[in-house]
Formats: sequence, structure tokens, C-alpha cells
Amino acid sequence: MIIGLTIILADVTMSLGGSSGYSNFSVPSNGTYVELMAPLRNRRYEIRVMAPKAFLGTLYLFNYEGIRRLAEGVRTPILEEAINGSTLIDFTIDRRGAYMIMIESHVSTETEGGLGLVEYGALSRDLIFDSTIIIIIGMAVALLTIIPRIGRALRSSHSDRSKPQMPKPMHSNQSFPPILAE
Amino acid sequence: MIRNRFLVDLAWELNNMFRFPFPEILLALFTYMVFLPHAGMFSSTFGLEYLSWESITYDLAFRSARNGAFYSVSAYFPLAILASIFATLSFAYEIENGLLKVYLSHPTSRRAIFLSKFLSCFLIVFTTLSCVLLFFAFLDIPENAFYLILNSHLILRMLLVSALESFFITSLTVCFSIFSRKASISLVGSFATIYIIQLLGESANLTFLPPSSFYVQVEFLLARTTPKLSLVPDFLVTTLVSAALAIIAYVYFSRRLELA
Repeated sequence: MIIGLTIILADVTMSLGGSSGYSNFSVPSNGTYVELMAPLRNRRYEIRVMAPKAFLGTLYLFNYEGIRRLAEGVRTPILEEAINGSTLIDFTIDRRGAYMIMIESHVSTETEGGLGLVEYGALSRDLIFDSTIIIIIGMAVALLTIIPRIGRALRSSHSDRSKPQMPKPMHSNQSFPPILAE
Repeated sequence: MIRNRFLVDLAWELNNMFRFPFPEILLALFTYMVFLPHAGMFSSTFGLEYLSWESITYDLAFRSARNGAFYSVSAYFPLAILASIFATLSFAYEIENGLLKVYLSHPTSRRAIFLSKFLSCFLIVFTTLSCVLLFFAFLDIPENAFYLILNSHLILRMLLVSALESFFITSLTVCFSIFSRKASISLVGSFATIYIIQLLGESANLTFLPPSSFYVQVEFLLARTTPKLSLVPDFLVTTLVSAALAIIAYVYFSRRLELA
């Protein structure tokens, strides 16, 4: 429960700022460039492809399942955008995890360029959802440990009503470790 | 009988610690400190022809474990504060108030008392930090959690970093607490010592001093290739100092400590 609540607090703090990253790429003629990124979060992103004017290609974005299928040789991207020179691509990630960017060249010369990724600040709803589940599990566990105690207390108080109440012994509040018989 | 006595003492010490909400505070602080630098993202390039599912899943699991271990060092400061409090409550406070004398009047040995107190301090710090690191590693890339379990040696290495960190902090604070005998001196002194070590390490760029040495331990234990031999001295210094401090504290507590 504490962990879940603190993750939400950390998420709120993290939502105040975004981040950015940059990498260089080199695509062979009619070839591909593949970059694995992790973790991309449940936020809005902007990819800035900086390439020569003559460059023509396609940018694909694969999610975790898409990467698995790609390794098997099947292309199932969640995003497919044409690149014509320098291009700006906006997209939003639904769930944090590992994503793969693939740039496919349609020109017959080797191309070098830059790939910038801008992450905008926002609350990650998936992290809040996961934290809520952790909080619910924590509360359930806490309740499960408390219910038998409440039941025992109720039963003992119910059965003790008929008996005269005796004062508790002094040693019930002792703060020393119990003595074991040798 | 001695073993039973040790277990009873340990259980009682842990109960004593949990009477105050310190472990809960520790858990919240660790979670916040470990999850906050989560803004970091890594990227790696592959040739499409070399793309294999095994290598990708291992790479992701490795990154999750490594990031968890790295971010655990960012929890060093709250770790130092809370460990100072635990050590002070367990040792200096009880020596100062004469409670330790009462415990020693029980049919128990000094060794059992020392070990139960030391272990209770270590266990609380280590368990809370490990719990947070495991949550981080599994929540980092949730879809890859299964492969993190399959590569359990990565989890064990991450937990080893956490254990080494907890061991150093516990040894230092307990040692300080036993030698100072006063709760106030122990609390302020042990925390100040840890802080001075950190400042010294950062200003003089001494990588064998904590917390920089913990980064070296992460580099050593969670390296993609064979770890560099040049990292061995920096890796060992903190661990050996921790062990030496624990032994000194044990010998002093069991043989030399005189209770007025």
C-alpha cells in the first residue's frame, strides 16, 4: 500500500518535466536502421528525423509484441510514417515498455542523419493504474490480517460479559524479551 | 537452547523496531528515491539480420536489473538517516538507559544479543530496499517481467548490491553506536560520519568511498562483459571495511563493553 501510494507521488513529481534524447543513425542504401528504446512511458512523444533533403524512407514504431513478431520476420508496427527529408512525427504511447524504431531507406545511397526524441511531461496513467492495483492488494492483505483479530476480539468480549472483569496484570505491558526456561 | 534464545531475541528486536513506523517511512522514502530517477531511457541499435528475441528479452531484463541497482544508490542518504536511528535505538539508547543490563540478566549470551540486534537492523534496511528494487525492476518493463524471472541471476546480483549497501551502513552505524554509548552522540555522530565520507569521496573523487563505491559494485556485478580487474580494489574496500567494522563491534560488545 505504501509502495503504491509513493509511486503515485513519484509519478506526480515526474510529470512536471519531460526529457529529450538524440542519436545518430546511418542507413545503408535500401537498408534498415533499428533502435530499441526502453522504457518509453505513457506520454506524448515527438520524433525529429534529421536527414538530407533527398532522403526518402519510412519510419516504423513497434511495441513489445511487435518486436517479438519482427524477430520472427513479420512486420506489425503501431506507427508507420513516410520520411521525406527532415520530418517531425508525433505519437502517444498507451503503455510504458520497450519500443523499437525502424527506419527503412528507399534511396540507393547510404544516408547519415540524426534522430531526436522529445518526451512531454504528463501524468503516466498506466503507472497510476498499476499503483492502484498494488494499493488494493496491500489493503486486501492488511484486511485479511486484521479480520481474524477483530473476530477474536469480538468473540472474547461477547463471552466475557457474563464473567466479572479482572484488572490486567502489570506484566502485560512489559517491554523486555520473554525468559525461556533453561 | 542458545539457538532458540537467539531466535526469541531476534523476534523481539524486530517487534521492537516495528513499534515505531520507521520501516514504513523507510519504505516510502526508498520507493520515492528509486522511482524518481526513472526519467532515464536507454537505446541500443541492432542490425535487423541479427535481431533475435532471446537477445532482446535478455537485454531488457539486464537493463531493468542494472537500472534498479544503480538507482538503489540514490537511496543512500535516507538509508543512512534511518540506519542511524535503528542502530541508536538498538544499542546506544539501551546502553544509556540500562536496558541492556536487564537483558543480560536473562539466561542469554552477549553474542546472541549482539547478533539479534545487528541482524534486526540489517534485515529491516535490506528487506525494505530489496522490496523496492524488486518492484522497480518488475514495473520498469512489465511485459518483460517473465524474462527477468527466467534470468534470476540478474535479480540475485541486484539484491547483492542492496545487501552490500545495507551491510556497510549497518556496520558503520552499529559500530559508532556501541563505541559512543550515548543516544544523541550515536545518532548525530554516525550520520555525520556517513555524510563526511560522502563529501570526501565526491570532492576528492575517491571511488573506493561510498556512495561512489556502490556504483563501482554495480559496474562490477552487473557488467555485460567480464568485469575489469581494475575495479576489484574499489569493489572490495567497502565490503572489507564493513566486515571489519562488524567484527570490531562484535568483539567490543561481547568482551570489552562495561555496563555501569
